Amino acid sequence: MALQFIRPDDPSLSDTEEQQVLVEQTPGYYPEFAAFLQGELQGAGGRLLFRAPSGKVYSVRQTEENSEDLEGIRISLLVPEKTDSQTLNEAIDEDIWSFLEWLVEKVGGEWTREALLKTGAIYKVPGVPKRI
Amino acid sequence: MSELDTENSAHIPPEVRQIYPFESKWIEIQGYRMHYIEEGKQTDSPTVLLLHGNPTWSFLYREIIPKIQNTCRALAPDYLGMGLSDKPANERFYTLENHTKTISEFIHRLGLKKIIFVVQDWAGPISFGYALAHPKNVAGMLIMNTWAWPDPSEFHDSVMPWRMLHAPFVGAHLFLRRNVLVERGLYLSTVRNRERLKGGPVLDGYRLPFSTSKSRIAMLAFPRNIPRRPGDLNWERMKKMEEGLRNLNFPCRLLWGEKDIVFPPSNAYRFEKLLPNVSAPRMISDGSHFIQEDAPEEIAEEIMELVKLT
Repeated sequence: MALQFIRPDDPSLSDTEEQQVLVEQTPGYYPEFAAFLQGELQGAGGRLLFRAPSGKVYSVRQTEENSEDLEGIRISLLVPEKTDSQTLNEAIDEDIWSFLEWLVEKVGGEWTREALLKTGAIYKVPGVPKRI
Repeated sequence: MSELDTENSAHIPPEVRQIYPFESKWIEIQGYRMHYIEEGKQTDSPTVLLLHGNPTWSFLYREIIPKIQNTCRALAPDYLGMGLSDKPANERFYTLENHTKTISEFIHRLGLKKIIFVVQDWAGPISFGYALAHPKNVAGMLIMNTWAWPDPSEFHDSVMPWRMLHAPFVGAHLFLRRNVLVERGLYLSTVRNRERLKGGPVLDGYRLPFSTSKSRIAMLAFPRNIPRRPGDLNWERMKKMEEGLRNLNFPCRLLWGEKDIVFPPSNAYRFEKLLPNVSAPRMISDGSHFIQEDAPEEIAEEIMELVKLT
């Protein structure tokens, strides 16, 4: 299912905080991934916000060097303020998988959604249809 | 970037302890605690250093050590970032160069002499890096399902599944969140004894030190250290490594899981051509990449053959 990108002033973002769900420390390992995502982040003012198929909202942004978090680009789930711990991990995995499908298709070239789906199927990753 | 993941360093549950009954030891290397086990005769006996690959740890050698410890001094460390060793949080810490340095320091600090190396997967490049720098301290090497040149195999050039598996963000999800190499990769790359990699104490043993996303960062760094073309990280290092193999005169033996698509039998024959003092490859027809799981008996036999030669 497609991601729905939302604006920073979307009302659903009020009184929320970020709960980190994934960090990519070396987005430039394949430079085309970093180039695409940096472009998207620049276009979005440094923070990309999307609503995943589950209805949860996520932010994507660069973490600063020497920050307490790991350096790189991180994806965070937006949760109501003062939420203690993550819940519904399975849904988060499926949401991240939707993000990966979007990312891989946009990066393009040799990186195809079909290759991602087949790889996910081999490793039985949540979110991947059982029959590809 | 100095955050460590050490939550599992002290506790081994009884069902895993039963099949990994070794005393844990630690040594400080580069300011971090490196975990290792050491069994067998301590003096006047051959020193056997058993090195693991990705995504494993010294647990990989649990069935081999008891078969050789009456004759040998057997040591099996966990690389920094793996097993029960400390796990620095910075992915860039985990380079082939640094793994080679830390294992070299481990050998130096423990005063290991005339070592018989037992290597598979990443242990190959790490051990050959050591051997090329210290050839006189190597008494022999058992080489299994690995490589020592810049182009590891056709598998590593394929987008699906290999390059996709550790691509940016995809790798972070599959390795760090989903732990797919342990949860699925071990099963997929084992033949004779694969059923025990579906669940139960053996799989639990592999899972044990990798229970959090932060504990799996070294695992993701390993595939990103494999070069594919000139200019890539480690291309020159591994090119020189291949060139240096011809000068290594210590006895080597080759044992290979024939069903391995990651490092196929052609890699064994390439080693046979390159090394000056090597046996013909012993192929294990019902063995795959994690040959220690498939053929522990045969591996122990090969180690004892090397012991006879040294």
